[in-house]
Amino acid sequence: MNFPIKCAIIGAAAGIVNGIFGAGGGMILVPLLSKWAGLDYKSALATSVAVILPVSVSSALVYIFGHGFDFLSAVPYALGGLLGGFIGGRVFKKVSVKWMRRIFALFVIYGGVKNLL
Amino acid sequence: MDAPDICIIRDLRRSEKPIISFIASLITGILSGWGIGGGTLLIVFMTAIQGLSHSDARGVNLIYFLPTSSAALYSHIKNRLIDKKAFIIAGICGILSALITSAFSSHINSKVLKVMFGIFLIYIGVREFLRKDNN
Repeated sequence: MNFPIKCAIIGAAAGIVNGIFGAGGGMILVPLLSKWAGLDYKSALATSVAVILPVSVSSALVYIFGHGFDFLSAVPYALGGLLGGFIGGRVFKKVSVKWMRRIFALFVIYGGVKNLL
Repeated sequence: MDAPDICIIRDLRRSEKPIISFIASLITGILSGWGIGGGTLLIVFMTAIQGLSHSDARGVNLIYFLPTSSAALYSHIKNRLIDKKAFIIAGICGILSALITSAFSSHINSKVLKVMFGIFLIYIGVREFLRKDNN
């Protein structure tokens, strides 16, 4: 299978997850872009952020038109995210994400168990 | 005498909540900027700790990701880390599938969605915890 077809399948899979859960598209994109499509790991991480932005815009538009949305309630999250994203982007080249990912994994497992109970 | 005290406590909670939300999203924003699941973690925070419904958390998270990823992308573009071909193809296909599934997602029963998300989180968490690489 050639590179464009792999990217098309990977993008579609990330869009499905993002559309249903409102998150998690990056968790599909990063391993598939690096291990299946053959991108360098840091490039896969950065490309996944770039792909998820327009995907989130389309999911957000469907959500807003379907549900309505109180934008004020999202302001603290958006401001925190803006600052966090800026810091994350600035230090990205200098950090190893290995241990951050382990800590992230534990929180996510906790969240998963709590969803099932 | 009790009523004013209760009001003060409520007001404190109201005033603290945006700060907690801001700090939580700042931390998850760093992870989002690195592409390692900040949005997923923020949904866990909003649903498991702040008590939001998955539907509300989903909406907030989608809005949160727009400034977060834009801020991180500035550096990623500057550092030439984005594969343009992969971005264009995966982006277009992702937009199309997200448009279809996000419309469909409103019709999924909230309890079913919660279980599906729980299974997804456990799978992602275990996979990330056990991953063996040096990055």
